[in-house]
Amino acid sequence: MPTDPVCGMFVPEEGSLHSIVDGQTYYFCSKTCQERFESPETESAILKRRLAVAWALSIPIIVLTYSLSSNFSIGFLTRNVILLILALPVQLYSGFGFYRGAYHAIRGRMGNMDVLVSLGTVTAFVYSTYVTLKFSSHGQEVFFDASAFIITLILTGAYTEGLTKARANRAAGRLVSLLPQTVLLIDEGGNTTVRQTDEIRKGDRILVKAGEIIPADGTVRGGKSEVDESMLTGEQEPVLKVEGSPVTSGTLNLNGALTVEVGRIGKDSTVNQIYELIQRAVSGRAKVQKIADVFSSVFVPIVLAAATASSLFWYFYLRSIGSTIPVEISILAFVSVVVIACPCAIGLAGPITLLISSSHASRNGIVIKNPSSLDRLSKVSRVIFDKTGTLTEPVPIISDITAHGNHTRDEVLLLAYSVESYSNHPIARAICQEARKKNLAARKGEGIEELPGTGIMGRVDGREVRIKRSTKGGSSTISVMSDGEEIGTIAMSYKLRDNAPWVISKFREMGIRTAIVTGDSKSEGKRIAEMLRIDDVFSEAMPEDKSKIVIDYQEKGDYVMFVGDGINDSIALETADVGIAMGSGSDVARESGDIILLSNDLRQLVMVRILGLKTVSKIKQNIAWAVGYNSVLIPVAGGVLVPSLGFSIYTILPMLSALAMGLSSTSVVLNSLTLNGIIDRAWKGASSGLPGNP
Amino acid sequence: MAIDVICGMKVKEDTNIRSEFKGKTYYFCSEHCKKEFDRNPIKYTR
Repeated sequence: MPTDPVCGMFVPEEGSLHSIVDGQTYYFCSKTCQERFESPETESAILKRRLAVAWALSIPIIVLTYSLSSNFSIGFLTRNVILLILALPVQLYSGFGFYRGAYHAIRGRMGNMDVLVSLGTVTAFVYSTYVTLKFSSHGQEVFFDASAFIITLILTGAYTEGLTKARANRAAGRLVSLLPQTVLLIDEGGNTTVRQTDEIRKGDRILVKAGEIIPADGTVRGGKSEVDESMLTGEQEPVLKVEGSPVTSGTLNLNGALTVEVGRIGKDSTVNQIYELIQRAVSGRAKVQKIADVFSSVFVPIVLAAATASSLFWYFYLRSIGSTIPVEISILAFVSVVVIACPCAIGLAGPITLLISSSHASRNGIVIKNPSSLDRLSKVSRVIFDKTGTLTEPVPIISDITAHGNHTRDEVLLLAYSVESYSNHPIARAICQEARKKNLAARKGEGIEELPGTGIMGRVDGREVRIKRSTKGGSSTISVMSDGEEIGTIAMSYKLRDNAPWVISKFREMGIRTAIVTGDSKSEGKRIAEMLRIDDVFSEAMPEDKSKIVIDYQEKGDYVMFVGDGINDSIALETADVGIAMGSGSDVARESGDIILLSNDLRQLVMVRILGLKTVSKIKQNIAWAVGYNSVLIPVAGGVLVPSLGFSIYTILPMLSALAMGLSSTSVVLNSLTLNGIIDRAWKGASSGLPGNP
Repeated sequence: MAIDVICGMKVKEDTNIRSEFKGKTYYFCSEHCKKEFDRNPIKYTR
């Protein structure tokens, strides 16, 4: 069963209320929610007008109700007739949204907040109108103050809830809203013209000046500049971009002009994908929300039953003791109960927290693809790290070059560089990096052939060059052969990432055991594990072994977090209870894993764990508050306090009920907003003493 | 009504889209959810 994206309630698919946006169908519990979703600005303007009318008339209604005696009259205008005239626009105009919502809900055979509010206010209004018209000269008690004030207060609640939700949403859409509306398009002649961003297509070249936000994902084709990527990755250090460097939409070009060839723009760009994932978090379902789901699916029938029961109880009880006001009290009890119950607060408890948590995560370079992983995250007892590219840098560094016979070390490196420059293998990248550092110019290679798992070969300056490389061994050595003779070797090693020891020690402090899985030799795996004090080591593992290792731990009862590379470790990432893909950060939508880290900063793993724990505890708190609130207040509205406080509490109870209902959703949203500060404080505590926090 | 453990939707127990794991039957709203479950039953059954 889908959930309403506005209030988070379960709604049946056969319901008539749905909208199709970007090919996806959204279902709604009420017309009000649908309109709020489709055109939030218009809906908010209408709401403001309805609210203004409601307050302008409710205040005089309440003043007249309590200042004039019920026998007051000027000609045919008795007090009750005046109140009726004032209450009518509130009931018909300000309350219109509730009736329309209730009509659609009933037609779809379901209950929602609109049904409860309509029932409550219409009951009070119709009874009061009947009394006014029938006993015009008798000064009977009427409840126009209750009917008008219920509408006013619930509208006020909806309005403030809208404001606080907009605040949470604005934070989520912060990156998208920063994207420039216009760009400078470079034509074939090299001239620039100003164009709307949505006119730009893949392959176009655009000029991004210093100080501007880069509008699209793409590749630098000219210029040199530093780019601030902190809004995306959380890393404060600017990144140097030269020809060939990838750039990402939403990042800030700091100090030079860049010519960028557009790759992905608009809906496909990284910032938009991240924004969509944040929005999707709202409809994600964490397991902890189950109790809220059960509660909200049976909510409306239970409330109606409770309201009817308390109403009938007071009616018969008061008649049996000979009271003169059985009808009045039974009506007020009914109205109070239906009005105080608020299914919205229960529906909102999970989604709004997930939205705030996802949005907070994205500010720190963490993208939550699968919100349901957050509660599994809070149970994690084992973290498995892939070695290369996760605990160590992805590209090795050259630790030594040896040359045999009368060959020189530069010659060995140059020959290797000349063929490896055609490859994208990490070892090839390391060799190219080293050769460029030494200002060597690659010779032209011919007939280059990559031999997967063993190396690369080709012809350079008429010589048959073959590079034998091995992926095994963290300090592996490659052999450079020329015409069948080894002329030298190049030794490589993988450098540990900064903060790897800190992260492992933090997990140990949290009582989480660690493991490392690597394709490297046993000795290399053992070396890294001993260096970092990792509990278990799996060496010489093939990619398909990784998911088996995950399952083995799960069968032993561990909740497993797997940290690896989003492309090569995809099966292990999906098998794990929480899969975390590290640091590629380009095509977030296509990557495997529940959570994606946009930077290579390992400290974010600790941040992710904090995020999971705090989010789940906030959802639990919200649900407990919303369920508890309804469980306590429904009996109060039904009259459990009457024996101690007397029937006079029913003069204000309907309005207090409306106030409580109006504020309950807002209080859930406000409570969720405190999550930002809670996560920040927990992170500050965990990372104190560590330089340069993300 | 049963709950699809992958997406949280309510599903009727007469659906053919189902899987057995450790002697218990799990029902799904779609083949997609069933496939996801079959790949990692442990992940979704605790």
